[in-house]
Amino acid sequence: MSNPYIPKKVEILGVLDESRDVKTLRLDVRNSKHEPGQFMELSVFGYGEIPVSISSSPTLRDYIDLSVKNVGSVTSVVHEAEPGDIVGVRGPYGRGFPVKDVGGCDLLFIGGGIGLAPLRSFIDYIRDEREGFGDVSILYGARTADDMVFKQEFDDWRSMFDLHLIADMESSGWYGRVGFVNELLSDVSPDIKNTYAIVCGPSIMMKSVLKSLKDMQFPDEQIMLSFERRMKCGIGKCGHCNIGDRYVCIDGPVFRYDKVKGYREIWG
Amino acid sequence: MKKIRRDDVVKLINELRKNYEVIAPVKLDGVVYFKSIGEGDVITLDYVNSAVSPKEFFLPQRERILEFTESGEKVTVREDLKSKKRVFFGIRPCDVNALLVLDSVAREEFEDPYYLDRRDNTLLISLECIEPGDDCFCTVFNTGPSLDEGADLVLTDLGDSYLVNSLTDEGRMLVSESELLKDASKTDEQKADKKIAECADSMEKLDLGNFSVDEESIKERANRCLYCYSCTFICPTCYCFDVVDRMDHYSGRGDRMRFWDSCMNPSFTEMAGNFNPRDGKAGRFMNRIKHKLEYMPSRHKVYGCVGCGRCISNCPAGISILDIIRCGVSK
Repeated sequence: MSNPYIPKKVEILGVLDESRDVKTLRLDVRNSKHEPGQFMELSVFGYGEIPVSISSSPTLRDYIDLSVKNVGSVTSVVHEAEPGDIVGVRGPYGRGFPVKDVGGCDLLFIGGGIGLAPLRSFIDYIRDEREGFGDVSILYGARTADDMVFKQEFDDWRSMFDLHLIADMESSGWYGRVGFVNELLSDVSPDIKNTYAIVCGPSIMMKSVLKSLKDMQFPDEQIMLSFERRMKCGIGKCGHCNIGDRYVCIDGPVFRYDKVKGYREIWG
Repeated sequence: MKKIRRDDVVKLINELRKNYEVIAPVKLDGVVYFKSIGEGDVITLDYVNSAVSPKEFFLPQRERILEFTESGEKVTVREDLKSKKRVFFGIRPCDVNALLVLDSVAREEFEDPYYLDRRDNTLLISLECIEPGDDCFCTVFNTGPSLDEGADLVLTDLGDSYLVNSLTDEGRMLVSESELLKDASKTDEQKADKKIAECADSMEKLDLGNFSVDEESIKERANRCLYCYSCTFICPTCYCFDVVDRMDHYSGRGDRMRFWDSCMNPSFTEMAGNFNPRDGKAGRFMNRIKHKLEYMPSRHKVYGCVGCGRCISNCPAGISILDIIRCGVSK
């Protein structure tokens, strides 16, 4: 019996500063066959293990990116990591975005804060496999401009997709819009029959975006949500991440809205 | 079918100890526990059920799952996953059914090697019940007092002897050499059936077909919860665990441990930034009850409660899952 709890040791190839409290670990994982939206369990031996979305596209063959916000005891150690250090990884785990099902359709990505990480995996996948997808709009909001992640991608995305940014608060040097990310929905006029909305961010943001999408008459089946929960094992054993009878780790983290609608613990 | 004299049961266990580690009930300080039997242990056959459920022998309260060096250069599984063959003697039908619940979780999609290694290397000799305990309600879930599958051998108390029924080939093999077992008669079998039927008839039955969680009855009870987590730790089917790394910076060695965790713990679902998708005591209670009575059936086609009654006997606030079930079916 193979032991799914044993992490594979991998070298950190690079550490990228994304924002004031988010770093991306570029890991020596070659030919990863992950689906956009899947996650890995990242081990810092002696400190613990955390679930992290894969933020790079599977079309990149030489590495994977895990983007980590400094919020707790394990992530603070992750932030001290340097190129050449060894970490452990297990996965990829979970069900990612239904890439095949949404092929040919228009896509409306809506991200909040570090929630852009799993979306970036899919967005960069579309960048590299452009002909398989329709029009792509990206709506992204963060607390301040300094909290926006993957800024190095924005020019690239702008050249191929429709990118809209918004910050919750003013900050020096930010000349863009101020407000919440659902306000950006008024900037786009998607052909709802042919569009999938793909949402990831803090719970309160996803809840308000969902309401706006429903106001726009988006059918439940065309809304994809990526959830975060306190996953420990990542493989459906430890019981921490359930939403009703679903486990976010093995049935999610990406759920079609109609599959989790009505559960009392979706938003908290 | 076979039978064995009451006085010979301990002799049989001693025979088995030659080839197996034997886990059996012993009485310590007036309380019955299951224990790996060694010299000097006195096995008891006089008990309703053990205080602590048998799950600790399959999913220990704490267990080292990995060992590593600080640099992460060396990662090893320290536990030898080829565990010794064991015989678990005296496990009650409800607890055998609880193991079947744990199996369904451990075998779903990814196999849990730590649990399954112990599970697959353990033969079960179950002791059917002829008298229910104060808080027993196995008849609600059809997980007792008799047992048709899940164990290797099933014993039924006939007074001065036990009827012995093999449910598996391994069970048959286990006692095939023993001279302590004699052929049972038709009368013995009828006597056993009668005792089991009398026991079952004296116990509560509920129609779970129309069960739905009654939120009001849960809220009222949840407010009395004292956060002791006894109900989940003592439960034979609760499988949730936490994973924690420990590191000794002096020796540069560390290990990854897993511990039983409890969904009644407020931090069970809490995430960074104090975000908690589960809303307070009522939310936690709802989850615990719904997990057992709705989520497990929908996911694994089996109830997550076997009616052993331990959580009722051990709740310091007097909260009874049976009362909650009664409220849920009588609406």
